[in-house]
Amino acid sequence: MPDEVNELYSRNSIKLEYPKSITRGSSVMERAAEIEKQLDSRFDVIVSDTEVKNTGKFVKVFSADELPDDIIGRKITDGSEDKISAYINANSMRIINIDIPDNENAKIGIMAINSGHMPFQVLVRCGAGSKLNLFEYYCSAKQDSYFVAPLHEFSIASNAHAEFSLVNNKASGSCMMGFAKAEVYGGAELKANFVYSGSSVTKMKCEFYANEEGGRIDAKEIVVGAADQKFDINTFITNARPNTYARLESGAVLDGSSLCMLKGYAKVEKFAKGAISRIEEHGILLSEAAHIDALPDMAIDYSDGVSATHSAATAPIDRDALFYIMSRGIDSVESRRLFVGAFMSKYLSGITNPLARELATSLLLEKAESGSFGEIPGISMKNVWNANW
Amino acid sequence: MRLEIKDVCIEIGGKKVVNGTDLNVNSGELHVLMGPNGCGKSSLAKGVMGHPDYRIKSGKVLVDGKEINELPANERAKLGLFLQFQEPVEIEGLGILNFLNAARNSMKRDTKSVREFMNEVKERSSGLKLKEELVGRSLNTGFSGGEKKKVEILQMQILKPGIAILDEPDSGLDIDAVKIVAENISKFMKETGAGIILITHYSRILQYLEPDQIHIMKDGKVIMEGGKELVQKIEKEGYENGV
Repeated sequence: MPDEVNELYSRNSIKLEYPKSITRGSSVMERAAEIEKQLDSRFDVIVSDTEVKNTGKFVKVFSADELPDDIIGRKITDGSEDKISAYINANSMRIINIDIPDNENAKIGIMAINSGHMPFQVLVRCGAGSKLNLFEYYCSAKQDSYFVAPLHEFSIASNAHAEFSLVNNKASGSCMMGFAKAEVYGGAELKANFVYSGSSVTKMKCEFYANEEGGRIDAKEIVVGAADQKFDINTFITNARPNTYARLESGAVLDGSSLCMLKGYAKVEKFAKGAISRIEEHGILLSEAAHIDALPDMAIDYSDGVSATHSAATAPIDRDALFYIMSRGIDSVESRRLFVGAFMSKYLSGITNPLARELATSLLLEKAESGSFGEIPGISMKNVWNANW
Repeated sequence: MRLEIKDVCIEIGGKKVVNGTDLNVNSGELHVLMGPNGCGKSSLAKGVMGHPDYRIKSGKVLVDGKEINELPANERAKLGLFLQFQEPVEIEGLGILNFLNAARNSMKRDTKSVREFMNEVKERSSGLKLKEELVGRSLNTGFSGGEKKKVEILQMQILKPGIAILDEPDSGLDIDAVKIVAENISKFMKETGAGIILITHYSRILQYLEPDQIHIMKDGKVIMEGGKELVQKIEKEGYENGV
């Protein structure tokens, strides 16, 4: 985490009160099986607050007290980073360890479904030259008022490629608070895609570091808010070494009286010659009561050959664009859907996992149209046509 | 199909930009609308197509005798109207093919399969000398001025309106591109029998087209009408002295 204290970010943040006791729910495996059937897909890992199913290659699931010493020794968070990190490190009920050996490939799907509070960790280590495609889908077994609190650690060794896609579709009334930290080494690449749709309150903090020469970070976040949902999304990207690349693209589409804070922070450290750092934050307001605070910021500690830019823009839906679409015979509802879908596709285009992409596209378009979330959307070719892959 | 513009006044933000204009177009006819900058040509086009900011304050716009003053743009398009935009909007993420497919599905004007639709797009693009990869990209995003104009003509060819208003299809085009666009307009009229209102500042495009009537607009009103000779007069004398 950058040493700088950003007062603007502190002022614009959602304060959460962490529950002192963890409430456990009942079995959700039956519901998880129904969801798999609806999606016509199988997840390698289904994790809930009461049980876990694991069939994933290179995946092991531990309870907090049985975590082996070698994994403890490799951990890159210890709770000192942030309050959320501290809370999850202290209260995790499960730890999913993904360890991809050198030069191996893996595609792993995780469903996180809970009927009680669920703080848990996902520790990912990609060996040199390996490839990982990790998709995590967060959903509720029923209407819930519990929180899911994932902590992610990524260690991407030299020349490895990792793509991580997280889609939150938890029901109204729930809360998602999470922390993620990634270290990307020489010539390696991390593509991180975050799709925030569900939960009444979402508070996420991510720290991504390009730690060795040639390391690349490409993070995309899309928030689709409705009703009185609140989102506090705080993402740090850091170019720590020469010739590194770090880019954060954040987008938000808000309806109702929803609120979103996009706090993208980029840091270029000393002697990171040739570093490229980008932050772009864009928002569309679909109603007058919706509110976006797009607050990109940068700290550039080195200027030699460094290219760093940040931008932010928020506006109501473009009337001229809507008129253009409608002038081709498309009604106002479908025109809005096409326009919003086009905006979202920029943020979803980085997802190469077909299930993740189609699920995210379907649920976001459905939400932008109806405001509903938390249900399993129908996946149809209509949605695939809308997005420009 | 017949489009009648009867004594139409259009306001934008409380300012009158079209001030009692009359213009009638039938299928198969080519009408050219000329006039100095800011005289209200594009405002008339947007008002006729139903832009919500360009309100028709008085007068009537009729399609086949039916008044369309209060219809939204999509309903006007379904009646057979089409507007080629002078400055087409860029919509990143909305693929041209996706957009055109959504439009033709909404219009329900053809029963082509997706494959037949794709083949037609390919064929029409080739006729417009549009790079094939262009139609796979986001709508107008990063296109040159000429490419945008050609994509507008491509949309007209695919959607096959009864009457199209072409707002400066020739501006920003090189000599060869003007010829290509003009030939495609002419071919489209022959194939479909569509009527056209062509808004232009230049006579060059008219070398390749045979207009039925020229209309000169000034201060929000059509003040002079005639044949092709009117264009030569304007070219020679300008709007100040020629009108």
